[in-house]
Amino acid sequence: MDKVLIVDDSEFDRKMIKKAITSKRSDIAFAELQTGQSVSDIILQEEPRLAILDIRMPGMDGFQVLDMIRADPKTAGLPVLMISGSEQPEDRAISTAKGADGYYVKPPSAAAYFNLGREIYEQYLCCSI
Amino acid sequence: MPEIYKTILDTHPDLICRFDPDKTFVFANRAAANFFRTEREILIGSSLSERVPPEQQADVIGRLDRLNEDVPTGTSIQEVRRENGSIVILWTNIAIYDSGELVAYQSVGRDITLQNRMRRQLKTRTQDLHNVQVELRAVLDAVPALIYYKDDKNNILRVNKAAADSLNMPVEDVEGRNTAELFGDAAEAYYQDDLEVFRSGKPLRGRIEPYTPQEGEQGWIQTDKIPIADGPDGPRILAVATDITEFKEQEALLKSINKNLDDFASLTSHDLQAPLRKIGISAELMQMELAENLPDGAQPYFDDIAKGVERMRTLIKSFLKFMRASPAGVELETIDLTALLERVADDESEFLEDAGGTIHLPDTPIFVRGDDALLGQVFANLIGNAIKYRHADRPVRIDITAGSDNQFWVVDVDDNGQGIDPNFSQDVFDLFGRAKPHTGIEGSGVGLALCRRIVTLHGGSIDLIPTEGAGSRFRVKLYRARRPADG
Repeated sequence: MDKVLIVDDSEFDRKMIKKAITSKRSDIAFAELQTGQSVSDIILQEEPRLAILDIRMPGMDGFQVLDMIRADPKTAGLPVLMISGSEQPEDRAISTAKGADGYYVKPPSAAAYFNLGREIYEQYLCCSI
Repeated sequence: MPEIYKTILDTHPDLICRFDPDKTFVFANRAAANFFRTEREILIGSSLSERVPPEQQADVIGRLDRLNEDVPTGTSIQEVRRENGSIVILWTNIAIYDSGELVAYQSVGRDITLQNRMRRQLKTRTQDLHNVQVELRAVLDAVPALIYYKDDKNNILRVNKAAADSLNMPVEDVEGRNTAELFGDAAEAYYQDDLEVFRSGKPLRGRIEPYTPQEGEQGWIQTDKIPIADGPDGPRILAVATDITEFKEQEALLKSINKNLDDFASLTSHDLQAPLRKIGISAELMQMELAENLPDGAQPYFDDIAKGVERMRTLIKSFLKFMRASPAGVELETIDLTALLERVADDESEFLEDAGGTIHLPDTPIFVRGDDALLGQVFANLIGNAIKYRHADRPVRIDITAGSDNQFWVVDVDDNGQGIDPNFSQDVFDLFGRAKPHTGIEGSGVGLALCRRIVTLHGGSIDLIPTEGAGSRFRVKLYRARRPADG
């Protein structure tokens, strides 16, 4: 079963990301982390197709988690999307520079969340491996 | 006397005379006769005393009388007034003795009028020059900037007091020294700049560089270097440096504060946005879940939630913009204040109706420079306060009136509420400051402080104006904007 890893300290946003993606594809499983400390182990263990990382998290932020993923040859090839609670002009540039596959601002409405779910599905999850 | 010598003496420009011991002229050349303004034939045989003005006789005759065999020569200066001005003669007098007996006096006078005038002028000019130097030195020493005047070998020729003080040295100890002796390694960089200025012939302005004096702490200076046209002793450079150490420290501090503020603003924005998004999305999801089962009359509540969330989101964005931008950098738009007041009054209408109150708005077009959401917040606070702090014995009445001058719109918000004790009239604008305890009335003490911050950021003002009647009057001044063109 295809799996998506979500690293976000906000339970609400994890829930919304799951809801938005499963609205397009119900057979997706999720691995969830509140912090990025053990992200490498989880990736190796769960073998997700995609990781979605919140940028602003207490302790280790999303960029540091991204660095960890890209630094380890075993996890470096995983597609990673960065997601942020508020639009920061520099975040998009940093995400690209650090090798993220996409950058999104957390949607302000449910409808926009479902649109984001559709976009992620179409770009990264539209067919089973 | 051989004829040849007589001719030489006659034509000599100096005044040549010879007297008997009784000071009778026995010889005078042509120049001497001219000086005494008579014919030589008349002059010779006449007494010296007849030819000297009475007031000078004692001096002139006395000088001859004072000569003796031991001191047979003497000099004197005689100034004679003539129609075209004074002439000055330097006399050299010789008493001639023969076997111990005075036989004659010989006087040679040289017209030194021109030299004398030049000497006086030179003296005056030297004094003037000295005065100019003293003044120039005083001016340079009064300048707070560090001034160095250098040659093309990195030698310091002149400095002002500020420059010497910065080295903890007297001016005279600095002048004449090489820069390398005083500034160590940094001197080479200064010298390279000097050479570039000499080479290009163009001033170097605003060079900011570290500055390490021989004694004292490292600082920062901003320097202008100006080439001075080549003089007889080679090219010169004038370096004017301003100590900007304090400015640099303040700049660093300001950068750090701005960075902290920016971080704080970002975090605040993030922390405020997260629950707001949660409220909005949850309400939206709830509405979707309930769909047709939504109870009658529930829809307006969902609309209010969405409206409130959207307004809060707009406010957060505006505050973030203001916290990040300097007041000068804020891009203000033309705001239709009349429409803004109508919108704010409409938002508050429910509370106003509950309080049985009325509001009167200006009907003239008012256009100001501002941020719509933030100015909306100002008037929402003022109207909200008027309702919140209403008088128990009378229905709320809010009157908003406006007038303008060339520069500002002045908007008065009057109410008939409890009023504000004049002793607290300034405190109300302090953060967490309140006019007086209002038992049972909810208030954070932030509203009016926020109003003042917002209005001040707009370049305007907000004040509490004393009134005769009951209630309060807040006066808001905002910059006028040109009415936008239709269409």
